[in-house]
Amino acid sequence: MSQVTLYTLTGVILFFMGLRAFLLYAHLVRKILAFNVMGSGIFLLLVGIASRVPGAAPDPVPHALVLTGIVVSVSFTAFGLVLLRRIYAKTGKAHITTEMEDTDAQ
Amino acid sequence: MSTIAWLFDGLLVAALLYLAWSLLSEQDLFKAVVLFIAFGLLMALSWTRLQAPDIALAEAVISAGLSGVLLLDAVGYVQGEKRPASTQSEAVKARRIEPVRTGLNLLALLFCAALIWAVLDLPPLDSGLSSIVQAQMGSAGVTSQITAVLLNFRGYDTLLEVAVLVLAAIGCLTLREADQSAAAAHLREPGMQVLDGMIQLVIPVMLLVSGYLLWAGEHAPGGAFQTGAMLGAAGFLLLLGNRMHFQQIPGWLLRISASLGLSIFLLVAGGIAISGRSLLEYPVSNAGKLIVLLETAISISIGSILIILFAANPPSASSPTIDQATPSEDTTEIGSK
Amino acid sequence: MTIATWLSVALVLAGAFFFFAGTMGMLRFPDVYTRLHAVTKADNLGLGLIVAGLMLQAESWPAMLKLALIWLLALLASATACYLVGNSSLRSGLPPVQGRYSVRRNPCRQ
Repeated sequence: MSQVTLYTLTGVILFFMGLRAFLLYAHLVRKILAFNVMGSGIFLLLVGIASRVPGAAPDPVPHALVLTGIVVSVSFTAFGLVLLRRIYAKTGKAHITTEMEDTDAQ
Repeated sequence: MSTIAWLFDGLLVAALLYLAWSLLSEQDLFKAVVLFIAFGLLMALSWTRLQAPDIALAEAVISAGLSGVLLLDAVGYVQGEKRPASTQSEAVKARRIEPVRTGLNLLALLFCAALIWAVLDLPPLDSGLSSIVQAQMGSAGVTSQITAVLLNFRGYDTLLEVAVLVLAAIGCLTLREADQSAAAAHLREPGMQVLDGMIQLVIPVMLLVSGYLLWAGEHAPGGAFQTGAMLGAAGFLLLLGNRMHFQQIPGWLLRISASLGLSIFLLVAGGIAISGRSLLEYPVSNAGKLIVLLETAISISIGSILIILFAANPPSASSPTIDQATPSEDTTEIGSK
Repeated sequence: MTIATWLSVALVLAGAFFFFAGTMGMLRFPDVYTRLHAVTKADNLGLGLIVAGLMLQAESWPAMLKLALIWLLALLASATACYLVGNSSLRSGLPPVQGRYSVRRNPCRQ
């Protein structure tokens, strides 16, 4: 096992930490945070796989993919936050509620 | 030496996992976002350890800087949310959710273990892409492999990616709240002269650095994405310090600069297609010039798109996030003693 | 190892010490003002020492100048951030901790 594998495995764990939080938390800011952690995990995994040949120069194709991915993830974050603001302005809530919860609250 | 490297990597990875865990389980959203910013900085450090300086540059500007600012503003915006008090139905609901939660945790652990096994099982073989890129570098028009992949070999991907960014900007502009007059007054507080002074000193340096990154992208880490991120960061600083007002930027200028990258990309692709080649198959003699043109246009576009994304998520006027959160954090710590 | 290498090692170690001291201060000081004081001053000095150590190892003049630029920019940013955080804390009515302060009362040391 090399040091690169360490980062690759960290990427895997980060992804599942993020996924778990994304599914479990109802607050929308938390969901966006979790999504960003998931993204970081995927990026680490991709770049880790890109340089799994010991001693060789890393594969530039996944690097380019991750570079564009980071810029896309910030635009995703911003768009998600704009949607969150709209939801909050309309409903006064920043977390997801199901129909069932709404009737419970009444 | 290798032991020290292992130690460093181990510490870095442990810190990443710890920060991710605590940012996801932190009760206070403000603290969670601060932890996220720290997480982004450590990610940037990890990229340099993985020999990916291009990604490290983008990550440091974007994850640690721009996303952090956007998230902090959003947390300030939703701070006044009234959570329903814990009632009996809440407890019933919690009990009902519990098996789902356990199931999800188990499922996530299972998949995580499977993926770890798959990663450890990967043969240490080249995917073959690396050697193809190296073989084609002669006709790329640039000497940096990553720039060559982004703007020449995989130009399609970048074209579509720029289109996604333009779509995000259009979405944000459409959905943002129309009345933002209150937001502008937020930072006009006493003592802002220091910030003004810093902005005056830093903005020229930021512009210089973005120009350098654009130039360096030809042969070294750098290029359109890092340049665009740096330009966007300069815009964030100007907007935050009230040196630039989003409402005062003419709409046509914003539209043109945000769509410049995509338009020029499409023009180049169309022009090449008309001249009988396949889409984005640059003539070898002009590849370098075309890439510089595209990089410049894409940088300007990414910079202005980031400014649009920021303007759609303005700092909230009613609840200045930092002002309230910092004292409350400290008083509770002292009081809890 | 040459003298320059030894000097680099000494400077970087000294820098690391100041970073360590600044971090300890941030964790153990009682309020936002003293924490800012610890972190800003010690970390600026620590970074300066590390940058000086690395400059001795730089391959060319431009690389040295870039390193120096990093330090100057960090100085500028941290000084401004420190001022802004301190200023807004004071104006939002957070009182500085007065009088003698004993480490035993520190909530971080339990």
